[in-house]
Amino acid sequence: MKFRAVLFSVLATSAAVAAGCGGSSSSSSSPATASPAADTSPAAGGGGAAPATLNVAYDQDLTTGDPAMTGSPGDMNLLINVFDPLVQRDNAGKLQPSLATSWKLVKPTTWEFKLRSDVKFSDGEPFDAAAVKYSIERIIKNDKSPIQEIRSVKSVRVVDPTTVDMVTTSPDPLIPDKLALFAGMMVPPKYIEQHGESYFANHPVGTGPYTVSSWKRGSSFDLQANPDYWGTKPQVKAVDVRFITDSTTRVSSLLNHEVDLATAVPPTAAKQVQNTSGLALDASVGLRIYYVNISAKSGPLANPAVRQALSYATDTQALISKIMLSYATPIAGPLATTNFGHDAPIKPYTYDLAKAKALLAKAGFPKGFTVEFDTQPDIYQTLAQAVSQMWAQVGVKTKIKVLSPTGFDDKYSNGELPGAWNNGYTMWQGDPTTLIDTFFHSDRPREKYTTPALTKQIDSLQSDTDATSRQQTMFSVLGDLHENAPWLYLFQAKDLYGRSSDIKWTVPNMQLLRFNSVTG
Amino acid sequence: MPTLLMAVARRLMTMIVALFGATIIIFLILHLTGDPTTALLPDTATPSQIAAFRHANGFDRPIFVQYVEFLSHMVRGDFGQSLRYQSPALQVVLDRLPATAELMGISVLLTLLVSMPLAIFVAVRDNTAARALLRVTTVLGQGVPGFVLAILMIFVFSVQLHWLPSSGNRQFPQDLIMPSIVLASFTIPQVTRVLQTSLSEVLRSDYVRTARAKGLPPRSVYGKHALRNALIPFLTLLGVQVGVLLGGSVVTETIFGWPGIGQLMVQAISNRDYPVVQAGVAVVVVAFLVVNTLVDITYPWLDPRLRRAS
Repeated sequence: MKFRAVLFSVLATSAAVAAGCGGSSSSSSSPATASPAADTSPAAGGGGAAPATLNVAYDQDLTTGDPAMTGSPGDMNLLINVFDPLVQRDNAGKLQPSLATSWKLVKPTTWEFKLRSDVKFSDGEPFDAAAVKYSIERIIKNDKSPIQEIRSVKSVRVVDPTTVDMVTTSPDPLIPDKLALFAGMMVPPKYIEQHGESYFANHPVGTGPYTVSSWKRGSSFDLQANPDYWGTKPQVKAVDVRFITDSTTRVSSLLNHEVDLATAVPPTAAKQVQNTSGLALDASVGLRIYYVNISAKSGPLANPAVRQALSYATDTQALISKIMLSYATPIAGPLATTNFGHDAPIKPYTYDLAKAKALLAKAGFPKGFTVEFDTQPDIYQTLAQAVSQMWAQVGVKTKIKVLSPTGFDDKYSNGELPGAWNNGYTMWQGDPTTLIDTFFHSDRPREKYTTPALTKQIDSLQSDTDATSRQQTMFSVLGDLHENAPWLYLFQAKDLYGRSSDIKWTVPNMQLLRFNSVTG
Repeated sequence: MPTLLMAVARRLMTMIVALFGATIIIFLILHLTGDPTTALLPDTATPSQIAAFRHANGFDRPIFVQYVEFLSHMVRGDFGQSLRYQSPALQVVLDRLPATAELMGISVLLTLLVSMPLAIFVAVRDNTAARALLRVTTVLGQGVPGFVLAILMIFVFSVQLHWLPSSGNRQFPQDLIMPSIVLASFTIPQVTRVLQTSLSEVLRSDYVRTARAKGLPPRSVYGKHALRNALIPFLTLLGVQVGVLLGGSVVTETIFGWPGIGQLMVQAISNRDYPVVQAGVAVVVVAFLVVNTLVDITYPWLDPRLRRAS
């Protein structure tokens, strides 16, 4: 019986891999069974000494060792062990000092950062203001860098070895936020100039808690503890990261005790990990939100009452429990629960078919209408199908088209997707302004819903450096995006990690795998 | 010997034409579905940032111009810089070649070890039970998809029995066992069937009957007279099956986390790393043609008539 049960769950996992849960950053966790409180607290674990080598099954391949040449959060999750950002975000999403000890706005267009003076790159080169200037200018002067968010920085001025000024073209309150990863990762100027960019991308050197001992492309990434690390000293001396993109295989390697830690455990495999002796499951709040765009420039979806009706007609709780197996949190707007603005006075739409029907009738569609619904494979397709069945209850029919991920991406980027479509968004910045700007500012190709007032407010969010008035504006924007419902806000997926119960670590809410948080 | 040189020269010509054809097809398919900008830049890039990035990478030039440039570099063995790996694309692909070659080599060996005895057994016995055995093998081999077999094997041999590592290539030779069996499962059924059919045909021919009538021992009849003549269609098919193996390696390498070309291609396509996809296709086409050239070269050795013909 047990054999059958396990076989079934392995096959169910593989079916889930084939049918849904694609990608990596989209797992979640059951509040009933896993540890929902793991959101901000260290997970429980064995009390023994830290393992000599930590074996990790990671769900993506590391594409580059150069933090300036990647836009993928999947790369950052590992590179955080080799590099340090200027500013870091704690598990609650708050900005904290890292290589910079403090920062302040000295002029509307100038951010001043004070730096640590006791930091060296792992090759011995000192970290100082010149290294900051080099690291930032390396990105803004390179059109090929996929990092776009700090293009507002005009120049970086070295004031003294531990002080640096970032001068922006216009006021940018989000500079510290934007330096918490990607652009904020500090690189060694002399090393790069001596060995060249390509060598650096393959042999990365940073100020982080670990150094790279070996990197086999597509296979493994091995790290050694950096004995001179300035921050929390690593207790695990060696980390062996294996790239296992197939989730069934990844979970199997954990069940076979080949690895101590596996990332992106699919919800369908969660029970199996929990029920295996010697293993534990950790759930963190996650950064990825899922939504359905339901706004359009013309047709029924241009009417806010229709969009509200669709929001009332969608049972997001059912999606969370049936598709995400409860490993997800409801959301009321285009932001994650750790983001700036998360305390705005808005609540998720309740499931209310009567209200939905009344709104449709009021909008002139008592019998519903037909709408095109574009999606892409995996979890998105599953969600699109479930949502369209819910809409059918109020007479709204859908024509679902499943595009290839690249085909979807092209139309999505150019704002060419028709009517309804669904997608996900990883909120790594901690502030939803960039996302809101991308989709609801009148200047953007993807904009399907905006008003002059909203556009003005978004402009203000991008330049207002006063915290109080900025929060008011954010609340007002979120209120608008809730009431006019350009998106159907589905949920925020939790991230699931499987681990050996012998290890103890801080479950990362921001997806960053900080191996120096692992203890025995 | 001149025959051999001619054959190789002819093959080389074919190879150049095939390579040219394959690259133009893959170039067009890749570029007609859009450029990699949207895959490389974050969602939040503004239209002007997208335009600047496109220009910096040359994606905004006419497709014809891009193709001519690609071709002029390709003939010099330069496939450009990988858009993701910050290394020359060809280097990225060649780094993965040994892993794929190792897996395929073992799979071919496994195919031979299973197919030849099985085909000989069925052809020689030629009874209902033997044919049933063949049918079961063929139906199972062709009917069970590679990824299902892979997952079942991982479940049984890694998760349940803890005998074998579930993935990776770090524990030689245990790590090779499951991926090579899965990969060989793509080729064994077809290869066995062809060899068995061709062997059965030969066994019914007059010269075999004569050999038997002369009282030659079975080993000599089967080994020297029958098998050698049945090998030509078998080897031809084996050459073609290298293509099947290369295709199968995409699934097998992805499931088993095997760092070969198949896995790289899947990632490169989803990352829209065009230079790597193009270099990968070129390397695969060349590998396929080289193997088939080697197969061609063995024909005259197997059949003296082909040597005399020229």
